[in-house]
Amino acid sequence: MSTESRQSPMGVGALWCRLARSRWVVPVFCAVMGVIVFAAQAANDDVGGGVVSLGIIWGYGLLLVLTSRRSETAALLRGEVPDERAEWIQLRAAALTCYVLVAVLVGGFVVALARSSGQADLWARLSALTGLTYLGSVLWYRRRS
Amino acid sequence: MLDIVENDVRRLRGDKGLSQGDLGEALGVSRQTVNAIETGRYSPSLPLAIQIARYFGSTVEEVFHVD
Repeated sequence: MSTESRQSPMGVGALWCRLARSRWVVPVFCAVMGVIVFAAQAANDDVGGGVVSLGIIWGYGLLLVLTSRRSETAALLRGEVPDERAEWIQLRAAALTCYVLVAVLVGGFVVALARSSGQADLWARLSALTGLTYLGSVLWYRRRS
Repeated sequence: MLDIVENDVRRLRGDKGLSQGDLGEALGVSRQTVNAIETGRYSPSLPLAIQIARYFGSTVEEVFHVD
């Protein structure tokens, strides 16, 4: 049984997985995000900064497109998941990223509390959202496996 | 849980005169994944292990083993 055959039952989830694994999702995301960030900065009278942001984001997307054939790292960053090892790498990288984000959220919340900052509520809400997402994910995947 | 599983994939591939890319293509995985399996950096899933064993006309136990 290959990785592909495990994805064969087509539903909304499977369709979403397929779309998310397309090698063009990240480049298209970069193209769109570049325009959005440029528009946001231009609306704030920072056209120069917007152009720089646009160049960085588009450049990143273009770099991935140009190098993904030769570099496995670039291919992974581009979102390519050709086999189960790539999927394993993507999952572990995503998990590590989440651990770092959770540490930042909890740290930010504690620091805001210690400083009696008005931002403590924001940190608390973001932390709660993260915790609830994790809880929901555990419940969802426990039922499905 | 056993993390380190040794295997004979490199030897079996060499006996067949295949490159890592050839084997990867036959198995539907990347050349880098074949390399990672051979060097023990990645343990394949059970379905892929079975696929590899069948490709070489062996059993999973003959190809993958814990020494």
